[in-house]
Amino acid sequence: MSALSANLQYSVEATFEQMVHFHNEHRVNDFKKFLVHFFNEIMQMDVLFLNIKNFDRDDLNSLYVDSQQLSSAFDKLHQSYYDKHYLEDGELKSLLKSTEKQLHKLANISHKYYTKRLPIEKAPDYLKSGLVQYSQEVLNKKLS
Amino acid sequence: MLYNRGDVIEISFNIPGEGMKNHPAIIISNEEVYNIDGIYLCVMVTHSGMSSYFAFDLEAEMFANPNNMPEGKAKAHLIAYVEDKHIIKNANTKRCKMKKIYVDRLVDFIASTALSEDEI
Repeated sequence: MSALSANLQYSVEATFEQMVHFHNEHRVNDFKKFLVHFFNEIMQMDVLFLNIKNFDRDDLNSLYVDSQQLSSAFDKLHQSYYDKHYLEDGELKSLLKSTEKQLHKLANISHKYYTKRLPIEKAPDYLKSGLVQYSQEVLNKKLS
Repeated sequence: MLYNRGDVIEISFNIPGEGMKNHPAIIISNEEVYNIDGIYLCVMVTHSGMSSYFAFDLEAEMFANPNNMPEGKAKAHLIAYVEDKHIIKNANTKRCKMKKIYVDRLVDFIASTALSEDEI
């Protein structure tokens, strides 16, 4: 069990299944209540991430996998709401956006610590000099 | 405005001794940037199977037309300004668009990995 799972009332899979269930059943109010509860849970994980430097390789790996999975699952759910209800319900929009931001933060922090221990992959020189040229050309014109 | 935020474009690079090579990129700037200065801010996609610090995984569900989605990973630190004239017309990725929610996620990722000094 990852540190993320341990801090959720339900498992990562069960959390997402519950959200999808409310979504599919059009139980918007129940979905909102669950989102508020879930948002409060993940907001408290900021404390957990203060200890991330002390995590061993296995802990980091499971945290990375869980946070990516949960963030991706939530993005899919958000995407399905984005088409149908997003502009019609300000409260839901705000809840989805805030939760998404916090999940992205968790996924990004675990990504940073997980990949810091992986081999470095450098960009080829032609790509770096090409990007500099493009930007230089545009900026020279705009700043002249 | 020929292109929009989330559009996958291709731009060309000169490889010494080999000639020109096209690379896909994703536009991350909004309409205001184009309206004011006629430019796009884009992040490069490079062929790579490796997970690494700046690599953002691209998945089919992120794109409106995944048949033409770029192969590889978006690289958070490889960002450039381009103009319409730099963008290759009729590229393989034409009409491929990343959905808004995923562009937002990509921008969050860039901010976290390439633009922030905070460790947490």
